[in-house]
Amino acid sequence: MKTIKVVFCKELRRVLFDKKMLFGLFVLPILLMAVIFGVMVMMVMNMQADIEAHQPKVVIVNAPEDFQSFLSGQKTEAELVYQQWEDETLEKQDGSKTGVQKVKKEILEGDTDLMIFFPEDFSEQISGLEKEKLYDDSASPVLVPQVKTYYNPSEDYSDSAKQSFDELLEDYRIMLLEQRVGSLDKVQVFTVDSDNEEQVIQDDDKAGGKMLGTMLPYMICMLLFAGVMSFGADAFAGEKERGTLATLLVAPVKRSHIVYGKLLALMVLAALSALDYGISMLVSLPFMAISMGSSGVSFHISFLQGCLLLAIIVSLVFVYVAIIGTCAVFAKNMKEASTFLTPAYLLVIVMGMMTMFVTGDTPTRSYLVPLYGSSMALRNVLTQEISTPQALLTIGANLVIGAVLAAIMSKAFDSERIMFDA
Amino acid sequence: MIEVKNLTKIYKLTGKQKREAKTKDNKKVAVSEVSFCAKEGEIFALLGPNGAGKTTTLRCIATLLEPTVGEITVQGYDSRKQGDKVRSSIAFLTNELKLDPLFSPKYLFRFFGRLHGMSEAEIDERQQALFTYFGITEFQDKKIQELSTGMKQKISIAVSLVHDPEVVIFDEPTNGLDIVTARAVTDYLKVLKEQGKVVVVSTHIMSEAQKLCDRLAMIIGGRSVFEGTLEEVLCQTGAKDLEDAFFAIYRDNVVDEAEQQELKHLEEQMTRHEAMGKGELS
Repeated sequence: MKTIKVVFCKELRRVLFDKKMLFGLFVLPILLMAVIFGVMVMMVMNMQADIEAHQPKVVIVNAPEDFQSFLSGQKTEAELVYQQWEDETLEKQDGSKTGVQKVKKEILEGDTDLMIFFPEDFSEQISGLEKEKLYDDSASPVLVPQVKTYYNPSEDYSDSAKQSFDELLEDYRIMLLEQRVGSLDKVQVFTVDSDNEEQVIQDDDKAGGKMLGTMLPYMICMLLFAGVMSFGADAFAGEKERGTLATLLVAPVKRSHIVYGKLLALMVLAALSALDYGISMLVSLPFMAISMGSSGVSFHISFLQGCLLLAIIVSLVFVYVAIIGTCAVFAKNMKEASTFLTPAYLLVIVMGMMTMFVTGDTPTRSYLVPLYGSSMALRNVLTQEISTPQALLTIGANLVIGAVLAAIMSKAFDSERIMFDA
Repeated sequence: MIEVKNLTKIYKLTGKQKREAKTKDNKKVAVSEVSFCAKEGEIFALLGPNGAGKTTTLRCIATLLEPTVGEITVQGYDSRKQGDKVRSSIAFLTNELKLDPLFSPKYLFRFFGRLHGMSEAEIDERQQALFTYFGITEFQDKKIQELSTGMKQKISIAVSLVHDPEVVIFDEPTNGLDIVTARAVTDYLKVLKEQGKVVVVSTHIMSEAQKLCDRLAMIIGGRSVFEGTLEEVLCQTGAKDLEDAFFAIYRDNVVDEAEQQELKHLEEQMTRHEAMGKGELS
């Protein structure tokens, strides 16, 4: 035990007493987060401001007079261009482009943002319906006039103009309907939830957990692994490359103790690194909410949930450092270690991401699957869909996997071919 | 006492190593049936050209490599079965063993002391003695990466001796050192001998071996070709010094033309090396 402690202290000291490594482990992640979210927030705000400042150009073809007067009563910043054209499908006999075709081209190129096309006899159709067919049951199905809109969803300005004019057209439609029938209440058969304030029945904590459960396992898995990957590679492959591991092997200590000491130190570094990322993420959460357009979630976690979460994370960190260590022990140098670690890192990310797309109940045996089981357990602890025995199963599986890998590493430490390439 | 009996070490070559060595044989015999014995209170030199198998032999003694055939005992401990005990009783220094450049000499000295199970007081005492002898005290808190090659070698020697072992095995300890530092190292080897330690040194610098060793073994092409005292080797070959004696034995043990040419090249190299050494001294 004493040897493990001596090696453990030395490994921690190597990182924590070195300014450059300390900077890389603790300061750089916070700086990166701040810069990334700062830039994201700035860009999102700039984009919103730009769209708001832009005056959309809207071409309205064959606009009825009452629509024009309706629009003049609305607060719209748009530049309105009124046109009187025939059916937009008619081709010109000389082959030249019709007005509609020209505007469509302008929309495609981003010069015009929206075109609203009313049929030429829109007003006549509306008034004709009122007089003749509206209440006549024996007549053929009522044909209502169609207003067509044209826009380019790839252009932000066009998309924004389309949304605001859809609302205006809806208001105009309601206005015409009210003119025809008096009050809208007369034609409503029923309403849905017009004054039902208790419509949403959910556990707020569970809802918050569901949202976190989608993102958090992925973030935890990725950050825990990434945070300690370079230190793990250095602790084994780096030491081998520098010749310092051989010096350690001449000491009269059990090689397994060297492995355990190094793994324990890596676990602490992984936890510190993840904590650092966690704090920087919490700090940047308000900015994240701005950039994603959400107002955040309310979330409360019980004591048992907290304990399970912590235990699963600790056991998962053990598996991660054992994976990293095993890859690094078999590598001859740092370069080879990074080659071995890249697929392992990708696997960890994919396993973390899978929790985002898996629905339904998780079968108990899934918790035993290496990496995947832990991601699922993390998610299900947050969504309160895991039983304590199931969580313990995941923890047990992780401890077994970690122990097996640690034993493989200890065996590798005894191999002169792996240690000295002999 | 170190006893090496019929030591044979065979490396298995990987595909890449076979291509590099331009051979189809997947085995390489590094050391073949080497035997010698190094005793307390003497400096035993292992002589031979580069690649002869000296380092492999020493690594086997230090338990870093396992003998393919044969057996090694150090202070009565079997290198295969009692590796921990062997490592407790030896100081092993070779160019391939490095100290972590990010730590200070003081920290590493204490770290290895603790690994050897020493108490803080014992470490303090050893640190005081060794750091003073090798002049390490003034830069004991600097990072090793900031120090010169000579300083690093002095620290490596001090760290390897932290536990005051009974057996000292130094592989080419003066390699790459200036003449002043080299003298400090060889002088300390004599101190260790006077303390009654078993001292084994490998070198290809014959003048150094002649001044230093009581007994010696020559390894050429992985085979042990001589074991005895300095007087015995000079008497057997009729040479005036160890260098001439070495070449006389070497000539008898190399067979083909390619090896003869290599021998000529080696003689030239050694003459140049000696001349440089004298130049530095003057």
